[in-house]
Amino acid sequence: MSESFVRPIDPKLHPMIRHQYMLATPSIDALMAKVKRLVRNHTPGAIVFADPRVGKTYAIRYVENALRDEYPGVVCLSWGTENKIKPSEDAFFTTLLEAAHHPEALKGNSTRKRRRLIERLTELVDESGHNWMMMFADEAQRLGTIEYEWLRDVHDCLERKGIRMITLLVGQPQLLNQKSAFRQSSQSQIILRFMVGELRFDGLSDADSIATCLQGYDEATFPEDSDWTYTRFFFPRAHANGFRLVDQALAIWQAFQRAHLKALPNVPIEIPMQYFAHTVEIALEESMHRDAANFAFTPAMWDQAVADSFYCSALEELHLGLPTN
Amino acid sequence: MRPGQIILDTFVPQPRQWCWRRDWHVKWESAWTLLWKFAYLNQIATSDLAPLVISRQCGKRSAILAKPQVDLRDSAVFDIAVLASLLRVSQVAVREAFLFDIAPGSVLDSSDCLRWCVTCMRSGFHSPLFQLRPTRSCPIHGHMLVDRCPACSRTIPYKLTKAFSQHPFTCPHCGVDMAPTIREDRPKILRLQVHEAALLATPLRFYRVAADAELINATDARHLFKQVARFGIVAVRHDEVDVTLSYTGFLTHVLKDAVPGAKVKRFGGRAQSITKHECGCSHLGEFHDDGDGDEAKDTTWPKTEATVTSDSTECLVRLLDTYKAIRRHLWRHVLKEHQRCIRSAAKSLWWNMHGKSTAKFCPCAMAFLRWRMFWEGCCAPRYLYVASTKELYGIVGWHLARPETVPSHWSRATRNWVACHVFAASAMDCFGVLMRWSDKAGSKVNVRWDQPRSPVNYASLWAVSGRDCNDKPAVIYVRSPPVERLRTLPTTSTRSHWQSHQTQIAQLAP
Repeated sequence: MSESFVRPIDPKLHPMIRHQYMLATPSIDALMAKVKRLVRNHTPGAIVFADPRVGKTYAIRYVENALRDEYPGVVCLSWGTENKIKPSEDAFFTTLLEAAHHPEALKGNSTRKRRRLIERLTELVDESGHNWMMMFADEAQRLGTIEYEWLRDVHDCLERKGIRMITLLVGQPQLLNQKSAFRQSSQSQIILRFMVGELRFDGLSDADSIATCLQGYDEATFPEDSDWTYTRFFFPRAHANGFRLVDQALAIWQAFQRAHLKALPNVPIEIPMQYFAHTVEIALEESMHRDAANFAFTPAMWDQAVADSFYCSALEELHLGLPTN
Repeated sequence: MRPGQIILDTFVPQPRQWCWRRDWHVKWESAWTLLWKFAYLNQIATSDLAPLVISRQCGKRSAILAKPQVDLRDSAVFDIAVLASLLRVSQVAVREAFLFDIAPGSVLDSSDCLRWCVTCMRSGFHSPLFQLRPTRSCPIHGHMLVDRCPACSRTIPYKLTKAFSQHPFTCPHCGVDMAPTIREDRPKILRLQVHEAALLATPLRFYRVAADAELINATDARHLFKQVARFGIVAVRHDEVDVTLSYTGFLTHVLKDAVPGAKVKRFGGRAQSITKHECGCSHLGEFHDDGDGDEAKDTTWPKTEATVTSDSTECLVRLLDTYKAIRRHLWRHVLKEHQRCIRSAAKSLWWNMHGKSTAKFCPCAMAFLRWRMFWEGCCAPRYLYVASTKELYGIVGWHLARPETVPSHWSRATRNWVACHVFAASAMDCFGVLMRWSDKAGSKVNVRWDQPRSPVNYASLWAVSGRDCNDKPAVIYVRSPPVERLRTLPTTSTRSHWQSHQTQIAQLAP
């Protein structure tokens, strides 16, 4: 079968070049399974924690999409906490109202904003046809005790209306410290509502996980109704000759291993999703002009791509205790 | 979703939407409670609400936004399209929330202070009809409407003011809670049952008459209908005719005559001329006979389809006889002087007249031809004077569309007798209407042969009392036709009238 080598669209428009795609890693899949269990068991909340740049925010977006597929119409509210000198009730409810897409998030005092939020959430959940909703609080380690109390008020108000609010606090491992602190200060009301479960979000830690992700590039197509897989789009001639990214799994893993050993020899390897995806994108974009029937990636090419993704620098920063966020 | 799957991460902008509950909109609800509900759900003040709902084209926007004082009876300054999108209902439903849209011309008969039913308001409901002064009690609960706060005894302006959405569902003066239900976790908003919606819709008919017609006190009229039903009087239903003074006056007259001692409130308006006919009871002996043969005819027995058909056919035959008798009477007595005019006009008008315009001619001929066309379902006057091959569709339609006029257990003969009288009254009423039409047409050059309404919808005022038995025979009341419609219509000068008519007839062309 002869394949066309002329790309159907300008490469600049490809989602890989524009960084407009989401890849379900095995960790995301595991997170999704745990979230589904939370929903099934009506667990009120859980912590999802991971080191910076592992892909938590990205995973939330993926889980939101997947939940909407699984439970059509379900309300998923995602909001990011803001760094403040001191917590403000007004600002807190404004953030939640904005997440709920209310056009009047800024006006009125905090009492009005509270009521407005409760009515809006009730409306959204009633229209969804479910009796529960999902709330994702990103960078939740920034929340203070009083903000947890406000969140608890919202939770309790909705509970009285027969609505179950499932809250996922997504953040850095400091969240675990917060949980310990609440436990020690007998703030069990917060733990029981929002921190009952703990889910660790992992990076990629073996060649098999990398192979699973790379298979996505070999199978996903763009334009969607075409037979132009991501791999074929960047290397049409090589693809016609049997080139597949999944076969590069071991090479990529070894490239990361080499980089890791050079930077932090005593720490077990775990590749944050962000750096893996970035490495693949760099490699594909940089090498696409070399496409030929006999094209193959060399270990040096992968080493260069890993270096360009700043994986090593990030790793060093992270383990020095200076997370770059 | 499975590991390794790639999906596009495109940003889909989520529309910002005001909070609203579709089930919080109740039919016949006023703008007052709709806006209160909206303000309550979104917790917004009037200063934020007014810019949303006040139209940019009304010419008063700046002044209103500076100092809101908007009469909620009137939709003129509101942006109906925006309101419809905010409340997620049709624009028609939004207009129904404003009194002046559903009862035009009720400015002087309505209150500019909030009038409410305590029970309705408790569940967050208020109808624009409550603002009408003639509505003294709630049609749903029967409670007297109140216009002062029970706590501070002050009136509440029926206006969108600064205080309007400060604390929705509370008195703007003293803050007393008027709708505690709304504040429950899962508020039970008043949902109107079908019969409750009908109860609200019925008094609306009192106000949906022409803007210049005098309004009727809804409470008094409802009381009258109840009395009419209580004394076993069957009358034309108010969904068939406009509830005007003449209708209520007619019922009052009937009630006074049928129940001499009954206390009936007088309705204003001109005294009406009403004709009363008592049914002969010769057929009743036959009806009450216990013989086997007559049992089968007893209408109290379940009717078979064949019986129903024969009942209907027999009634139709009687109606046709009645029609022919009236037609004969009009021809021989009322229109005696115009027979030539009618015949000549009919001969000239051979085409389908529906929706067409012609030159005017003898008014009596125009009225009579149109009257016959109306009841006989014939569109070309010439064919009124040839042997008919078709049924008289106007009468057939009228007969089939008529609801049962008398109780079904009454004898067939009495039922037919009543139907014939009702029909005769309608036919004479119709002739009167068409005579007025042709008289008015005298001042115009051309006459349009429009059909204003179909015979199916034609109803005149009638009422039946009695019990169809020897001691209380059936009595029918109908409005008497004007005396001039029963007498021979005069011509100013027979010769000149005929000549002028002939000249006009010569100009007729399709």
